[in-house]
Amino acid sequence: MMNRHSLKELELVLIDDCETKQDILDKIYEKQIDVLLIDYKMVKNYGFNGTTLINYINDSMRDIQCFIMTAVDTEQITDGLVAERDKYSKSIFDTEGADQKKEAELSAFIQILLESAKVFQVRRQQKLGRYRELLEKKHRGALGADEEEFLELYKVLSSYGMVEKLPKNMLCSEFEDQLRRILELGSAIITEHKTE
Amino acid sequence: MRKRVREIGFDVDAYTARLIGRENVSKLEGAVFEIVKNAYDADASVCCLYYSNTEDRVYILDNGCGMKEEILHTHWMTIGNSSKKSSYITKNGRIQTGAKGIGRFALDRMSDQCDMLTISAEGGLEWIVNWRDFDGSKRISEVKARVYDTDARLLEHVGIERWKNRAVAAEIEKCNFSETGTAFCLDHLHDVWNEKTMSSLRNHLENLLPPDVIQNFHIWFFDDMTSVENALVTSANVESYDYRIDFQVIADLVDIQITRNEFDFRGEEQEVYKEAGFDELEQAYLQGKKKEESFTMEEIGEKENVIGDFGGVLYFYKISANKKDRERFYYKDIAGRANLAKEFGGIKLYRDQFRVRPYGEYGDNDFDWLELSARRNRSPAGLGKEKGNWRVGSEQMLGMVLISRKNSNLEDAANRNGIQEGIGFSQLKRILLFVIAEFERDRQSVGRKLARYADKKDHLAAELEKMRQLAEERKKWETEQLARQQPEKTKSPEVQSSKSSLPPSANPEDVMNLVANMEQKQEEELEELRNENKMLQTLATTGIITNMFMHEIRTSTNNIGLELNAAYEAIEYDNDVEYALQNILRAIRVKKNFSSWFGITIESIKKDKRKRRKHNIQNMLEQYMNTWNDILDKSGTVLLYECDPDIELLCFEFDIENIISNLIANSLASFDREMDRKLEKREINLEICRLENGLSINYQDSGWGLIPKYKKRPELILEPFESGHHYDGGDEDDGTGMGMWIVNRTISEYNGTIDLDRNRKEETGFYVKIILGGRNV
Repeated sequence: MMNRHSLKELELVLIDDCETKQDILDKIYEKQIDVLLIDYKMVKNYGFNGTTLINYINDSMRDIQCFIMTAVDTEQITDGLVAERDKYSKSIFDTEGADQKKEAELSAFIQILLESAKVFQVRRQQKLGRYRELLEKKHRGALGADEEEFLELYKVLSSYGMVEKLPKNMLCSEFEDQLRRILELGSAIITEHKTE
Repeated sequence: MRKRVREIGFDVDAYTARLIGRENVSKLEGAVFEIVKNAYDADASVCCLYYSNTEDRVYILDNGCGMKEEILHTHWMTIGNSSKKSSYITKNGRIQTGAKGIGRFALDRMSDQCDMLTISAEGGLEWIVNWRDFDGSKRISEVKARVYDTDARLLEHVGIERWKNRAVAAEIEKCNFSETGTAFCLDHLHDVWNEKTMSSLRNHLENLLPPDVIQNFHIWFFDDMTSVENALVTSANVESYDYRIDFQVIADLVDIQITRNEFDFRGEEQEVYKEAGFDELEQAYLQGKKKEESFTMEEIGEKENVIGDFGGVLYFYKISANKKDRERFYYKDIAGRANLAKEFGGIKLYRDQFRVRPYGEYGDNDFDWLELSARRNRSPAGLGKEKGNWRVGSEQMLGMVLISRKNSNLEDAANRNGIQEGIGFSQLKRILLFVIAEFERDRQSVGRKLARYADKKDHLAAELEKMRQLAEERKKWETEQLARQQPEKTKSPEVQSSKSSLPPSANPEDVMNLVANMEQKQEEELEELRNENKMLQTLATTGIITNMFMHEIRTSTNNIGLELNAAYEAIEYDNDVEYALQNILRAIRVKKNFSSWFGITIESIKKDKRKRRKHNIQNMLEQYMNTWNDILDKSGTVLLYECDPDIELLCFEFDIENIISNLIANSLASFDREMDRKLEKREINLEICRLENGLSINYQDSGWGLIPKYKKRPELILEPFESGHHYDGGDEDDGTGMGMWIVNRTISEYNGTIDLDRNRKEETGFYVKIILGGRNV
């Protein structure tokens, strides 16, 4: 019964209608996924396997936790792209008619999923805090060497809809300067016009 | 709150430092090796080791560059610090091999007391240490060695005028010891320097350097009794050999040159060449022309060269050959050959012209570091065997592999005992095994032709002998008949009938029956063995197929479990019978898939498939191909199958099924290979056509094709233990390497042929044309 309750804490989202690794990545952002369960055997439909996909996703989203699910023994996945602790057999979902041991295993797995999702959410919030800090600096024209970090944070957070999407040129440090100059120029013109 | 900052240096107990040194140089051979290596690294042209039996003392001297006081302080006296770590090319261009700064402990290993004189361009220094001072509980910094400035000369320091072996001393005096160099006098030796010790050390010194280095570096090793001839150490060399294999690995290329020196056709060259089927090029190779081959890393199954450039030379050297083989394979006479591996060692490793112990050292665990013996045990076939690969024995393969300090991923192990295990060393071993396999293939290709020729000759000779004997018997019988006819005319008819005119012989009918019975018995035994063999092949194929579909089978099992579990929960917790029924129906549908798997696997060994009979191939394969069609359809693969209706073949049903199953298994593995893009289609095309004398199987798939390792020479996939499944360039491989070997064996049993040539030309896809025919039809 515990599983049935803890399962309710999870919202399961199917990622489909994708062709490339980038399509899948876009869908993860779009659907606001917090933790990923990925099938190992994907070659037939995608041309790559789940472990290769995780490698790709983690290049862009270091913090998201991905788990490989396989029908065969986890030791048979030997490409070394995913740690053993992140590989699970699909049979974990079969509790064999409320078998106690199997129920406990599934519960433990669900707890891991929930915890991984929580960690990801906390990290995102932390990133948001840092982003705001840097944004403040940017407004003051004091971003300097932190610009790269700022852009990186913007990319991740805007993909998740946590900050407003802006045109690319608005993100450069010079943009604030240019905007200030235009406004000053505008004010000067208005003042001059008023004087006339 | 912090107070009174102080810095405390690390120190080490002197005894521990000595222990570390001893651990690193544990054997006397290793100690001598280190000392000679130091002389070589110091650019010496002569290194002299003299054991004085009368004094029980060892003198060592070299005419290298000596040590300046600064080097003595900062390097020689600082444990673990070596001047060779950062700059390692000497003035004369030698690449120094030591770098750990522990070589001086070799002296500790040899004796308690050491008196060293070293003369550099700056003058002479005498250094005296008593290694016993390292005992007790002193700090290492408290142990002192005494150093004096001196104007003594090297030969004077070792007191050459007192040496008992005057003959060798005279030779040493002629060497250039008047300038710089280093000399040691070692007292209170730790070992007994008897004949056995001297002999073992001599063997090690002979193998220390490859033969071509001896020109600019001479080692003298002697005691009071050694003659001048024996005192100068000559590098062990291989002068007679059966095969020589030179190889060079340069960037992405592996170049191999094979020289045959094993065969002597004893004046029958032209006949053997013609009858055994050696073409012009092969003839040239047999006459000594080098067979040159070149492969890319990809072609030998490596992703990239992680070591860098290296090379070497290997020799195949038979120790013995029996008379029958000598005649059958036209071996050159090798009478009196000694086991060269004992003297020369096996396959030795040299880094910058200096031996890396203990690889190839006879009697050591690492003598067979390429595990050639285990490889031979896995494939024990003889040279002339048509099926099965001949593998070289570990004591038959000698040679030198020359690496350099410049190579990457091949660092020395800290204890001076070999190379650190890792990707570089693994690759080095794989490349060497590839080179050896090339040689083995070449030798076996010659061996097979000669064996076939010998069999042909033997058969003819036996027939001739039989005919000759018959003719002789007949002649004798006719003479006897003639002689009898005269006197017998006078004898009575009773006597005549009692002495038959026929030659004494067995009843022809009895003989025929006996021969027929024997043939039948032999045939029955052979049939039994054949059946057993086929059963094993089929079981192996079943294993291959089951392994191939393990994922699908496990997925089906999981799905049934999940559906049943969902049904249980629907009833138990939600009381939703309708929902549960849907789950159960889905589970039943999945269960049906299993019968297809059993059709291909378990049913393949059914008894009636193990009988050889005349089959109509189309009828025979109908059910089997339908089952495959079902299975492939579920895995998204299209099977296009066509078979002529009127093919009759005398065959075992499971033979034909084995061929097809193994081909399909390979296609599925190819479809599932992860590449940089998605495979456009998964399609298998199988066409079986009638031939005048048998049938042809044309098979092709739309997969990724053979991996680069086999692209240039697709016939290699027919050898056992060759597998391209799970191609990632690493050691892991989930293929058995048996599938295509079984296919090839089955084809040869039907006197058939297999053509893989199209795979060389096509970029993707796998193509094979098989013809079955001959006696079984």
